[in-house]
Amino acid sequence: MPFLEIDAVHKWFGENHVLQGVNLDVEEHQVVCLIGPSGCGKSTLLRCINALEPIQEGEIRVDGERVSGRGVDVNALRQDVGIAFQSFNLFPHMSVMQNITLAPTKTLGMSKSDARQRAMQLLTRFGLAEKAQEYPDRLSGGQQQRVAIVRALAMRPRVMLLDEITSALDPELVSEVLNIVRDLAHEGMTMLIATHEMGFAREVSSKVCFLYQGRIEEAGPPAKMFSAPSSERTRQFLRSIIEAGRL
Amino acid sequence: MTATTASSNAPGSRRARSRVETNLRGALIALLVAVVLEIGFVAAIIGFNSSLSHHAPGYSKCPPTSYTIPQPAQATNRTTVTADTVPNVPGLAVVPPKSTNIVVHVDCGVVGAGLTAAHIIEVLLALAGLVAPAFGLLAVLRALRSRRLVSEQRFSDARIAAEDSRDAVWYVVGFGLAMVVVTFVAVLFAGSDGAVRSALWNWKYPLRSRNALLKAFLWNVGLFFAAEAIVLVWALLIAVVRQLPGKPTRPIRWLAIAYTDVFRGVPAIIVIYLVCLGLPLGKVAPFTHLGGNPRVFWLGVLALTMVYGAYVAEVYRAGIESIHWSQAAAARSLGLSQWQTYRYVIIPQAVRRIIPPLLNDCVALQKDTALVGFVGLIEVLSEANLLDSHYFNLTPVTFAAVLFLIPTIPLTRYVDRLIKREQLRTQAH
Repeated sequence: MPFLEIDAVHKWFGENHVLQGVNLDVEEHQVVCLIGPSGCGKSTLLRCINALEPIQEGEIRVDGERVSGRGVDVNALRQDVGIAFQSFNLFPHMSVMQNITLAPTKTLGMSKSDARQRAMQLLTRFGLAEKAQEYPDRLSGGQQQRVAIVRALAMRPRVMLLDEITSALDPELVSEVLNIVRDLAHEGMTMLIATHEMGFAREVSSKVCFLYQGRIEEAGPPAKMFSAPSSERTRQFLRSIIEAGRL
Repeated sequence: MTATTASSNAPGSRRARSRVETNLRGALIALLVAVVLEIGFVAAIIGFNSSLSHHAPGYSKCPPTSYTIPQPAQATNRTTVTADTVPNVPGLAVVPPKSTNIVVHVDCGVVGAGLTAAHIIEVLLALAGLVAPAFGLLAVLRALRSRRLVSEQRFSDARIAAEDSRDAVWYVVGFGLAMVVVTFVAVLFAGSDGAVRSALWNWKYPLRSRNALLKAFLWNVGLFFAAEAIVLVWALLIAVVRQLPGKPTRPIRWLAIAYTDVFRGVPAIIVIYLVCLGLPLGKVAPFTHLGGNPRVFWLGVLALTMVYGAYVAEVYRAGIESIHWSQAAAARSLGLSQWQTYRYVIIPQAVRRIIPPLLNDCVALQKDTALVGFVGLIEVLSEANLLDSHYFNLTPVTFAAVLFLIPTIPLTRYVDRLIKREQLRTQAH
């Protein structure tokens, strides 16, 4: 049984039909990349899985349990499903350490010292140990995004959603963030990644989905998707990426 | 740029020359204005100075500082009205007359150390005023130099000299405007032989009445601390209630909106009248077990809290709404509840952002404590009024004004420093 099941999901923003029946399964330890032009619904889909946005039709299941619609403990769901955003969204009034330990101490009931210890382990692993007492605004974009990922990981999520996490970064800072994701993938973390980094998607994912106007136009293993896509729209999208020199 | 080495007919040189010429005209006007201003300025200061050592009109020599006109004692036909005869009506507490005789105080002007200090300040001001004509002169010299450089075909240097000249003109403008303001104030206070100044401020009175005023000011300090402490919590509660999501909370949300609209819209003095006079008259008031000043005090705290709670709630609301929704999304995505998101993420950031407007309302509240004097609390303004009518001089009121400034100015500077420190700690630089 797939770990994450997205079943005929529809989402409207007022009149705007953003998700038009998305079907997608993510197996445990699988890395799935969502690609597609901006406005195609990648971010919205991730936000719906995390229940930051409600869906109007269809169903989302995590580990066989329904997590969309009424009667769902969204706070419990979010402890299992971590998310990192394009704009990092660190809490600017808290130090790196406070950013990371806030949720574990307040929602998991972890003691302060345990939470700190766990945070320190993660920071050390991702080369941020000396930034623990620093405030977010004083870090580079790459460092901020790595802290944001650590913050999500500190909750020990079972699946990570990454929402264009390198799009707001200067080019030279992209690799330090992608290295973390690569690391997590090797470790077996289940991940659903919305990205514009095609090279990275090709390297790290076990399945690539091309999202177009709120539907999954085509899905398949990266080798096939990037070299022999069957859909004309996928080909067109990839052609424009190649023309821009980004693949 | 290429024209700097070209002949005087080239477009670049034309540009340089035209700017230089306008500049000379401006510099000359600035010099002229500065000289005129300095003359007026010094004249005003001399006038103010002479008003300081003058005594009240009508006296050639300074008589004894005060003397008493005896009144025939009126022992009969006089009812004694005390607070006991009109129970439960604050504001009718009658101050017993201090003397049956009329005391007349005479203003003898400033003498001794006060006068010396005033002289020193005046001389320093007059010297500072010389800065304006000095810069005017500098502007003219630089403009002339700039002209000479043009005739030597050194256009780049000429333009630099012209710009230096314009900088000097700006000094004339800055200092000149300040001199205009000081001149105006000096003329106002020195007018009519210093009567305005001595009516507002006479050194004798604050020395004589400062203890009574300081003691009365403690009521204002108490009103401020009690009301401010309650306002900060109460207003946050109102602001959070206004932000509650969903339909079920609508009635309470509307109540919060109505409260803010009403108490922000009604003049503070009316709320104070209604609460401090109306509630006791209705006999169902809180604090009925207290009498006299303490009761008016707590009713005053209640009235000020209602008024300032509405203002501060709006400030909090602006702060909360200014926090980008992505912060709430990040907090919720980590599994924090709505309440925890408010408590740990939204409100701490909102409060940091609204400290300047919050301080603004804080100072305003401190000032408005004087309004409670109108419903019978003998706070600093009421006390000053009593003394005024006794002395026939407004010095006690001016002294009360100074008392209000003493805490607020250092507080403002202190909060500025706190904000600066917080920024240094959390922001990139």
